[in-house]
Amino acid sequence: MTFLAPSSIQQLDQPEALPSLSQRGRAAMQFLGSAQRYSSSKLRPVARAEFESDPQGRAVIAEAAVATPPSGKPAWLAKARRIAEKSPNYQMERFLQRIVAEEVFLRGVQSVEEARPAFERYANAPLPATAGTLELDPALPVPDYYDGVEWHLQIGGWDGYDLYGPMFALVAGPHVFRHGGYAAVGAGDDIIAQRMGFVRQLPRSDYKRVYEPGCGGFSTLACVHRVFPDAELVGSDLSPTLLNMGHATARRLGVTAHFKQRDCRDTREPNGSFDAVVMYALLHEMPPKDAVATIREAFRILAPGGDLVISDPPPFRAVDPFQAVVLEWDTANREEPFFTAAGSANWSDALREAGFTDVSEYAIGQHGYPWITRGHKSG
Amino acid sequence: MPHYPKKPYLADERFDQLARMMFQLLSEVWVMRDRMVVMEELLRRKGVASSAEIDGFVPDADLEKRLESLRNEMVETVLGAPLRSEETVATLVARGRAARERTGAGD
Repeated sequence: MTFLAPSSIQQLDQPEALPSLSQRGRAAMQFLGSAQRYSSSKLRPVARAEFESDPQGRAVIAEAAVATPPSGKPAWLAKARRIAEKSPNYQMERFLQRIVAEEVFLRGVQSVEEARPAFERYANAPLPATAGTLELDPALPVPDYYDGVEWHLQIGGWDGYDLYGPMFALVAGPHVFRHGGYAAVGAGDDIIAQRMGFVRQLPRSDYKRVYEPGCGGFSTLACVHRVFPDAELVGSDLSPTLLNMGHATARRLGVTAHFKQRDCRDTREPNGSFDAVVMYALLHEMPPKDAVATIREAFRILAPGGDLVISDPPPFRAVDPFQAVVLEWDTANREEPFFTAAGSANWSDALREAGFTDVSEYAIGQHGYPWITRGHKSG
Repeated sequence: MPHYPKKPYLADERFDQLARMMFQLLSEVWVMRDRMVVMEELLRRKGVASSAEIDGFVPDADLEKRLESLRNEMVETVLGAPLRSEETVATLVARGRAARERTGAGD
């Protein structure tokens, strides 16, 4: 459930049609991008080297190599955190991560508001008609795990500000997130390329109907469209703000896609109605039992012969102790209430228990991210 | 926004507060520097002054005096922050008078 900048928006739209920030707003947001880049690419390697040269750190690394369980929170994690926290460089790196995460929204909203008329014109501009649809369901019950959470420190949550869509796509995405270096995303990682790489983990080339629960906007589905241009696209999410923005983005790009306000545990789609399901950065945003229910729902709506591909932050068992500390930090500090639970889970086991076969798991980027889990529904 | 975690990121909550101030100050400095680059570019495009002219500019004696006064005031303000509690009405009046004479404000 993420919403990041589809770079193709900027490639497609005429530059004059895109709203501009004030000089102050632009410079302030770009400063946040530079601060995040410095934190993740300069300070964090120093903190990591200190951890790895500390005798206690080396002992934890040795322990992790022989005593990491296939699921559950590793016993060495708390020790690793205490060792990392001794370092002033680690402390400052985490401080910078936190303040940038806060300011992305505080500055972002302020910057958009300074130029609100231009952003409103962009958001309300007439769009090309496509055969795509948007189904909102105001009566849809909000799950307890979701209600009231200000995910990623986003003020008011996903629906807390009417212009969050353009703020992500045109402000926070290009000025801050494009540098990577936050949460599980490695320093310098290209988040659009990561999504493309994720979609390419689908093993076939002939998918006709692809479903994405927790689609947020149109970021991942846009990548699905680029890889499988003939596939029908259906995305669902709990957030009407993100669904509206996803629908608008798809129309802006001239792509037919269908957006539905649904609970990913109960999509209301017919049995066996899709031949691929993709989940990008979704499962860590709910308790593991709900993630398991989401995996089971994917199995239900997949036709025999269909495939499920998941990308999420890596489990603790798949990364070194320092990276595990960095990941766990998000739980209490970046409003990610289920990050630690997800890092302790084993989605491969959940896929097998749901009935998937040919289950595999692996990383396609640095420090275990994106972490891929995929399975097949036998025909 | 969610409340700050109870545990400070740095050694002490006061360090966190100072670091937050420094972060915002750095942001403000960057916004100003960015703006100066934009201004120089606009001046260049409009044929008013080039960056090379600004770099090569040598202040005359009067401007040098003004710059020195401003520079000293800024250094005293920043480096003298820990001594702020020793300010008196007299020192504040002197500062105000110096600024007024420099800018002509209130005339």
